[in-house]
Amino acid sequence: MAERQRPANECADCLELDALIAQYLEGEERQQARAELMVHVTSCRHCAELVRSLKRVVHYCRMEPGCDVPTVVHEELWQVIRMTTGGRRRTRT
Amino acid sequence: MGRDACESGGFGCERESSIRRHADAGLPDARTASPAGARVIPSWLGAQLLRPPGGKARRPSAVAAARAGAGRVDYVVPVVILESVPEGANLQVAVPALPVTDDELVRRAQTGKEDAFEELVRRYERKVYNICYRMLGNEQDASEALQDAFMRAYRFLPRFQFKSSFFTWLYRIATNVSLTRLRRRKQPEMVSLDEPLDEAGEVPLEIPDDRYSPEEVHRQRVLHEKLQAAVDGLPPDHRAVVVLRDLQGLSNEEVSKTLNISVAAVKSRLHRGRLVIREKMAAYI
Repeated sequence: MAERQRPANECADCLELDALIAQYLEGEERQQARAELMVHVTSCRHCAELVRSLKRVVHYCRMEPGCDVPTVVHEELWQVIRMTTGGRRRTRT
Repeated sequence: MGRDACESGGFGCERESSIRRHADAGLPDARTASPAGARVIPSWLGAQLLRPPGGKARRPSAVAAARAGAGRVDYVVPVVILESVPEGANLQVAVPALPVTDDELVRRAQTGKEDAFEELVRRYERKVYNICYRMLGNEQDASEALQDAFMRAYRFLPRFQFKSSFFTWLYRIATNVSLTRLRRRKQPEMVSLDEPLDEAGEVPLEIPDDRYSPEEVHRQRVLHEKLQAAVDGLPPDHRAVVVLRDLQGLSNEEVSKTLNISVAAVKSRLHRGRLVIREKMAAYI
């Protein structure tokens, strides 16, 4: 996959903070690193926007409801399952 | 297991000095019991506890974890211990059946109990379908992958050695089946421009949910579609991580075990995947 494109207004520190942003999203950053990130985003509009939008992506993904198995799919699956398990039962008896 | 399920059966009555009940069952206080005659504790279990006169009951504050074997435990039940029950007293105790763990079901299935395998399918059908659907992006492929995954699980279950959780093993099968299908795709998917027709040959009209405004329903639908499209656009390896971690809610460690890659690789792919999704959904977030 191509590396993240570097916007014109991105400073040298931004790419170094990439790993820290990933840790922040996972809630794994250390306190000092978190403070470092917060200081940076207050002065860097690009990183502030990056963190904000990535948090939204994670939020949307996690809020996404799982879909129910459609009835047709469910019935087809169980037809196959019963043929398999039932077939073995019949063979044994 | 909820109250309805408990009352509908699944409990046996037996003599013993402990009663297992749910923590939220609201056990009546034994101190208010009438000393005369057998005490009847009305129970949500649909059964009754008959207690002889003079017997003392203690209501423990501690909750005993009833962990039967390894694997998933659905709930924990408290234990009430009756003390000083006279010898030979007629004591009927309702005991809720503990949920069978995945590992126990697997062991049973490995000994040829087909019902146990069917129970495992029932437990994981929805989860596996969601993984396949997110990985493949359409119902038809997801349906075939779902069947394929469970058939493989059935075939290889005798080789399962309990070195991992059953569900990570099953999710790995489902992910691998989906990845194989993804890699086989040579051409982009064809999308039908025809509206689906019902049996009468008419275009079915959707009934809107009154709880939400049409704009909100539309916004949610667009977000859902854009998110799925963004996930579809990820390379297969990154897609698998995003689906399992962010859409299915597995931990980094579980994803690592499921995909047989390091936790560091999970984190790296996850971050790159999120960056791609962010770019593709830029107009909607």
